[in-house]
Amino acid sequence: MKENKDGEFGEFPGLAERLRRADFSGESRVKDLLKERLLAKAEKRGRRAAYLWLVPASALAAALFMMDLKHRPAPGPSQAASYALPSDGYAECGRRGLADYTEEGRF
Amino acid sequence: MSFEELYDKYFARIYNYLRYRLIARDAADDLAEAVFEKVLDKYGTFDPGRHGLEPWLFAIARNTLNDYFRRKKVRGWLTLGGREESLVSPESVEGAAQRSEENALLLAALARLPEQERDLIAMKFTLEMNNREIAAETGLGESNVGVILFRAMKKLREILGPESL
Repeated sequence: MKENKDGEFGEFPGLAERLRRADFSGESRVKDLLKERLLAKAEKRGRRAAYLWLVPASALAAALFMMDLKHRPAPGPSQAASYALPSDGYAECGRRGLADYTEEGRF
Repeated sequence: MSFEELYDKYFARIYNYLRYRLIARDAADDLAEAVFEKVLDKYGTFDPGRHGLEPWLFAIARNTLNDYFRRKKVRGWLTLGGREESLVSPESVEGAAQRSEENALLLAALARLPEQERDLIAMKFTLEMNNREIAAETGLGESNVGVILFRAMKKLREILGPESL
């Protein structure tokens, strides 16, 4: 681009120059407003992009959390035994439930 | 180059190109908005290694303008069979005359050219494309571009008269 100077239009030097220098941009009603609007839009988009890393990061964190829950090891046999319910349902503390309390005399 | 620098550097050229093609200020304003919206949207993915900035920018302007003409044409067929030249209303030329007599005379002269000649003049003098680039863009032969431009210049000189040049 920009290689056509008046050699090509030697027959119309004044006209070529006039066509080249004519500037209508000063008549535009949108020039300044459009610039402001587009720059504001670009800035807003830039701000949004700065926080965009949060989306994959939080997705990754959620995925890791779910994997952790799924792969938590089952309790071993000894641990399982210590937490098992006693066969009579009251364990070895000697209490037999509400009946123990009511028999103590205070009731 | 930041978008702001690009806008400051190229707004006038793009706007002048649109004005040469459309003549009417309001239409050129609308299209300038559409062009720079697209430029902003695509600027993040623009690859300077693949295209030069100017060809990329001017292609967006030309495509936006061509879309506009296509839509106008379809709308014209649906109404009164309007032609592209109907964009050049006497009011728009008259309005321009009040703002700048010299510019208005030039616009009025351009408005009298057929669409193709106006297109080539606009590419040559506002986008500063050479004949080879214009030929590649329009699908015309390079020598044909030269002939059409010469014919258009001759017509413009006749319309404007020697005293106004």
